[in-house]
Amino acid sequence: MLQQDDCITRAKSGDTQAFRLLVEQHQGQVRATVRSMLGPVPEVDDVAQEVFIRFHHALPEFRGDAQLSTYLSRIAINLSLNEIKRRKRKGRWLTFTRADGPETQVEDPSVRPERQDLKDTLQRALQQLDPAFRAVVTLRLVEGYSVRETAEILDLPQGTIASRLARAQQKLRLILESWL
Amino acid sequence: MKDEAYYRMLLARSFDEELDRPEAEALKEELIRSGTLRKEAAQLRKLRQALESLPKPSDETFTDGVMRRIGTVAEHHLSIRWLNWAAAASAAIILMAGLSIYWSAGSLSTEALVGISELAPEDALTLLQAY
Repeated sequence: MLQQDDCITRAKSGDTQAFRLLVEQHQGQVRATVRSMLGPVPEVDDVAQEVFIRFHHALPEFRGDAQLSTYLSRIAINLSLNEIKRRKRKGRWLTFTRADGPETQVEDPSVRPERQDLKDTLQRALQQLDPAFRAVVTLRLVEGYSVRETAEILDLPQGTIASRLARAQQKLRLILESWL
Repeated sequence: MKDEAYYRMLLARSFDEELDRPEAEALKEELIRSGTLRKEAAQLRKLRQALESLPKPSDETFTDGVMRRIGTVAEHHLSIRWLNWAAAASAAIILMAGLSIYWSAGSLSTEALVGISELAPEDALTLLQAY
């Protein structure tokens, strides 16, 4: 089994098998991050694939100062935030052009709990958070980064991360009260 | 006397940061006193566990998709590079032809470009008679 550093070195020199191995090792984490940010929508895999394409493109300059997982998480969060902005613009346009509004309405997770399972409900509840708060919850609670690592990835002070976490948890608790 | 919202916020913060001593003491006392706050603490613990256990599924087709897209992007870059080379080579040929015409005819007028700049009327007559 190749070590991650060896894989990166070999991938840098054009070894596609080594790069494939890196994708296999990190795809679960990247897809979970994007899914947590965007919700259970078909675009998740497209955005997650784009994360690895960006990484492949940046591979010659990747110096390994940051952990690969941290590096990929940062790209995943940024691309997800871009996708959310794109969706918002599209939503505004659809609302403007059609009387019935955008198609991607998120179902209210606090209603009819008997029809949903907790994991799906959680994914939907996350979508009710502001994207900036969702990014913090995703990195700290879904991915398990420390507050310090989350602050580094999002380039924010640790105090901001802690207060956003506290407020996001309170909101999620209220949304999911019937489940908890 | 602090209100409920204050203790709620302390409780939520206590999971991710170390509270200072008076805050920690206040929270501890309120947790002993308030059943509602204890219930909320249990809910937050359950919420965090549920978020941590969200699945991180792997999928073989995903990796194939990434490798395919990387191949497509590489091909696209290669074709763009070839196009750039072709455009540069064409520009160089046109420039050299222009210079060569200017060198021999002394101008880049339409006659010079067509190759009739040094043609006199009697030459035209000779050419027409030949037909």
